[in-house]
Amino acid sequence: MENKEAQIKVKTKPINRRYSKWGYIFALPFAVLYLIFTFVPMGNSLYYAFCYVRHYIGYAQPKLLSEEGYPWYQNFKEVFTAVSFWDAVKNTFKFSILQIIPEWILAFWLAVMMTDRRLKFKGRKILKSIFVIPKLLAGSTMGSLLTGFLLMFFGTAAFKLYMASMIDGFGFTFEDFEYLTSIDFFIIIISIFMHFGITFIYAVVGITSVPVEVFEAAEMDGANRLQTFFHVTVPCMRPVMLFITVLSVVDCLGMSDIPSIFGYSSDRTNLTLSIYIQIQGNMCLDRASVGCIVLLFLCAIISGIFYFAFFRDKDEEQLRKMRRKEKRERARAAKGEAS
Amino acid sequence: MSENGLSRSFVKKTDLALKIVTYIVSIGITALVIAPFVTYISGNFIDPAVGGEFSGASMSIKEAFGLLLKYTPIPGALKNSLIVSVTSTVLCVYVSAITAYSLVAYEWKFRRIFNKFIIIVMMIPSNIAIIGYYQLVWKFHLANRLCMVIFPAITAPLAVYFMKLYLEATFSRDILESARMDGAGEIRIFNKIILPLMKPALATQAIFIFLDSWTEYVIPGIVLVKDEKRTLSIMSMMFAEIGIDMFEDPAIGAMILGAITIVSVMPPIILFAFLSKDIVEGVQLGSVKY
Repeated sequence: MENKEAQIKVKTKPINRRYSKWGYIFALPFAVLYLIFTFVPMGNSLYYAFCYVRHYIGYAQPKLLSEEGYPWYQNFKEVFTAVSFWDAVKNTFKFSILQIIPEWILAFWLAVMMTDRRLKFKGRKILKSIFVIPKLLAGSTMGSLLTGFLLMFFGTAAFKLYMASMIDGFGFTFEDFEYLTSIDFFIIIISIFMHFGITFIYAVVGITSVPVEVFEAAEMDGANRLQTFFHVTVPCMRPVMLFITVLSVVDCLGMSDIPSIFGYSSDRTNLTLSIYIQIQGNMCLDRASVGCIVLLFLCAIISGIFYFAFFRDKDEEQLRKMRRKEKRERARAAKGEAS
Repeated sequence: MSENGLSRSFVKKTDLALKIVTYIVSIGITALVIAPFVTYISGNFIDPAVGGEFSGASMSIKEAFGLLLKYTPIPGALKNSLIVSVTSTVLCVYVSAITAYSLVAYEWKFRRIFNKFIIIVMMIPSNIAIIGYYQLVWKFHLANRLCMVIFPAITAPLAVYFMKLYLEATFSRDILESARMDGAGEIRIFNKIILPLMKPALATQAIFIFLDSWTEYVIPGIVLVKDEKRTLSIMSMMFAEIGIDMFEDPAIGAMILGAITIVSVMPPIILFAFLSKDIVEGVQLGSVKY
């Protein structure tokens, strides 16, 4: 009798549960590799922030600050009181904001225009390939060639503006164009140029993922393009937006290759946080680790703000809460019956 | 009636203007991208060290490549680079796909936590781990092994997230059930049915993963210190910094740098040419569910 019941129980076991072990098996390689080759080193490098590492350590395990007779916050104190660190943070933020805003406007505007059914734009696929080429070249020596060309181009343009201001045709003076010849401006322009293709590709991916009927309905209701974009397209492509945001934020905060083209100067105009980490990493690994912690916090805070403000599915969250409540109540009711 | 007609013609006019502006902007960007190539292919190599000025010497591409083979260890570097990049791309794409599949298709206990973990972890910049990785590699005497460059490149949380979005949109449980009915094992189902289904997502991610590992210079710079183990990106960087000054005639150095550039740019472009037609488009990626 009992045996039969057990057999029935096995048979009625939900079919998905039977395969759930494959979920573990398939997720295992990622988890293990990530743990060993990224998570442990990451923890290790954050641990260094509380150690005394002022020289090349080789294989030796570094000693904690307290063993060397310092308070545990010594490294943080040293880093936070240095001017260069705050310059690095300030520059990172400045470059990131000034890069992301124009880049997103350009990329999303082009993507919307090229995917608009009413405009019937041709050649999107070819243009998509062309926009990515700077990114394909970045990092190689060809990237510096392209950078050199862009510098020449914008430098010449700025120079011509300067000449025009010399003639004094429009009431401009040289001071008005001073920003256009500064290193900041070049860094921002080149970063936009390098990174914009990827944002564009994923923007197209996101926009084409929204079903056509939704756009048609919006058009029927008389929404113009701007309204359609902000009230239909962006909410509908929320997951892809999260992807694009994370990609942009991580790339911007970790920006080091383009600013480092301009060399290192004592006025620290192009010092970003990750260059700071690289330079400190040559001798003072502990200070570099403090920089890493700050970078991690900045990334977490910015991405977290974006996530909670824009991309969280509020309805689904509410639904889940309601379901959980219902379940609890049912359980309570069952308990009551039993007792 | 007439008012209606007026507004319609107005709409058409703004449409045309928008279209023209879009064309102008995109063609302008295209010109900025293409122009360096035109000056490059026309036979004059630009010396990047001078910042875009012409170095004055022009030499045939054949001669430049002869010099390249003579003065630099390019075949070995190219081989190392290809091994590292191809292996890490293939493994990374496969591992990301299988992780995404485990998140979408199966109901296991820690699925939701693992999903959250991936979303959190993808916001962490990868260069935080570098200091610790340096310690790991040298502590366990694992330097100068190509596999140590490949392993950290395999796990890419962003790729997993993207593939999960794609799979959620295209995957249906019916396929899974019917394949199980026919007696296919789980690994076989994944390899034969799910992977072909995910081809566009795989292609999109493969391009950027390959690109990342091809131009990566921090981790190879830490791990690979022997001359014959260096990858192309490290070799070209070292040549641009040190090797270029060793020639008495700066034109020869510039020429070799140009040839290295051509070699190092080709593989990503070829891969992109093959895969660009497969880039994801028009699939309802994790969009609002009806």
